[in-house]
Amino acid sequence: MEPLLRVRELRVRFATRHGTVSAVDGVSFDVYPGETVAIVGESGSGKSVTMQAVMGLLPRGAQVSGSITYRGTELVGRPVSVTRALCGDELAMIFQDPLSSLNPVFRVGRQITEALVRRRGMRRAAARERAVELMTRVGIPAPELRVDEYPHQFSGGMRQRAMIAMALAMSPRLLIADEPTTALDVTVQAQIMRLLASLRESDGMALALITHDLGVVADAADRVVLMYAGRVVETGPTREVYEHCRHPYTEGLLASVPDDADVDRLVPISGQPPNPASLPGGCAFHPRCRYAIERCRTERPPLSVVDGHPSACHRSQEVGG
Amino acid sequence: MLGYLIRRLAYSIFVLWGAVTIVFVVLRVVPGDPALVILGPDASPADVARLRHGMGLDQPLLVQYGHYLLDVARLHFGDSVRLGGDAMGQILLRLPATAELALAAVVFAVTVGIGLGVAAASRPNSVLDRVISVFTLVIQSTPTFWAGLVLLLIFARQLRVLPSEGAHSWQNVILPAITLGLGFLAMVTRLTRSGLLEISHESYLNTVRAKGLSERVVVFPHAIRNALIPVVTVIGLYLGSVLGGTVVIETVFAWPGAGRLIADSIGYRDYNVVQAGVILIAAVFVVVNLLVDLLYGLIDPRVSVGRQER
Ligand SMILES: Nc1ncnc2c1ncn2[C@@H]1O[C@H](COP(=O)(O)OP(=O)(O)OP(=O)(O)O)[C@@H](O)[C@H]1O
Ligand code: SF4
Ligand SMILES: [Mg+2]
Repeated sequence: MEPLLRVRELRVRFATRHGTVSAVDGVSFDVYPGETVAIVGESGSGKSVTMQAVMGLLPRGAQVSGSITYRGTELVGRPVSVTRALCGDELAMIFQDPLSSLNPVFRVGRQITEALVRRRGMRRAAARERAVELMTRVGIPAPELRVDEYPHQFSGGMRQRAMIAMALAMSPRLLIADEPTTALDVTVQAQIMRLLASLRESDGMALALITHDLGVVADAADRVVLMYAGRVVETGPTREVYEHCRHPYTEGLLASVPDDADVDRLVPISGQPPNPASLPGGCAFHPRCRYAIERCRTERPPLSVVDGHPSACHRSQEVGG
Repeated sequence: MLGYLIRRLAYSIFVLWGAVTIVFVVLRVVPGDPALVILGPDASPADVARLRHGMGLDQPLLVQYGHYLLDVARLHFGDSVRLGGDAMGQILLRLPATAELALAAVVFAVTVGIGLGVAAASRPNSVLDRVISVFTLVIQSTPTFWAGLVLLLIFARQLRVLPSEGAHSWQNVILPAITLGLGFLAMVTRLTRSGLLEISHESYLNTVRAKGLSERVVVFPHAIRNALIPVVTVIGLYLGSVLGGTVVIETVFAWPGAGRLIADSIGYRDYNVVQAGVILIAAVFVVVNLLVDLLYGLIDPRVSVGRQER
């Protein structure tokens, strides 16, 4: 089967006042039709920038190289209009902060179906009906009333539902969700994740789920891609990575997943994520790694398959179980 | 809502009273005797004194002010000593011409200002952005009458493409409207630019892009509707200076409006006409500001008019 989305050796650099920042450095992964891929990593690891590159949302001046193909169409190095033409029908995205991802001065219903009106020429009255349908599907109560309300009249969870309804409007093949639950209450988080899972099932769309919480991923994702400092450090089927992780960073993230049984034993990875303007040499994780050896300071471990799935660590054999 | 209306009304009355009082004081403080102006330099002192008495000018200022306030409250603005007839009637007769000019100026300033602001913000710090920024700075530090004279010289005298004075055809409104709107244009340009840049990183704009909509739709209407919120707030305030500007502009361009009548009447010490004109301008200002407040509630749904504190 051909992947929907194929990303190869993606590099994204920003020119800043403190020199060139390499936010994404050689990232590769695939998303196949209908599957859920989780992109996991700490803050600043380059998850959002990767997906912004896919959606053509990077700010002007970002230098992108490598390859992004969507169903065989190369997007890197092409005018942004090529990507724009795919957005909506093929690719959709929902964002981290539902508070700021809806335009405060337009009615929610109108925003949900704006693409149908502007791109498919749907009439306003029909669009309003369609908005009510979509809002019903994503579980927004009293949609006939709420369709005419403004974003500030919606709670955070309801806004994220509205964003999902907006993404569904054009029936995309791939939905990219950038930390869709981070800004929400725990109970609402679970509701949104359930909603995404059920929609994926009913519509058969693929889901690229960005998160920094491996706990969310366990039930939701078929495969995981772990990112650290702009690089993929481990990737594989979710179950395999959970049971036999091959990278100390993954191990650390797994240890920091709160266990229902005893939340107290939450162990975050010690130290701070590195500043992408001045990455440590060798393995970028070495200052925080309890497995680190001398070789880790100087030699960058390549992504290579050890026991089933790829990881990038000199000592992957000794990590995990 | 009721509390808001009461506050609003009190504020309006205060503004009107201020305008009424200031024009009264200013007219009495500047030298020049209306009776002398009417009768001419050759009039005998006795005649002048008789006319002054007839006009109530020999009474103490405070008494004059009291009479004047009572008259204004009853909407009696007195007669024009120069033109004869009701002073307010004379002003109202010329109001449409002024309204036409002010409207043309505001439309010019808002459309061109938004256009320039969008152009500047679309490529911040580019050559175009800098040129526009210098342009607005120059405009803002140029006195209105001077800008008017320069435009007159260029377009009416040198190029002879536009008429210089009067109100004979639609072309006549172009130069005075541009002159009158220049300051406002600069302000709209700057506010549009800064408003757009301020929201340019908002993720709701990326939402629009993620829907596959073009950059044009991102700007119009998504970004501009948000960026214009501060512009709307200043439109009301700036209108005062636009209306005040009509006095100078109408004189420079011989535009037959209320502003020019006010300017002429100052020369003739025709107090009643000046007072009626200033009061009317203040009233228009108050009403337009109220309308702008209501418009503000329309353009920004997060603001409900009744609750807005000002
Ligand atoms: N426009 C930009 N200019 C310069 N640097 C940027 C820009 N956008 C992102 N970066 C940098 O790129 C790195 C990766 O950012 P990114 O937003 O992808 O992180 P993330 O993995 O999504 O983190 P989070 O979980 O906090 O959202 C960060 O260090 C960030 O500071
Ligand atoms: S390469 Fe070395 S520093 Fe990097 S994760 Fe593996 S053991 Fe740790
Ligand atoms: Mg992010």
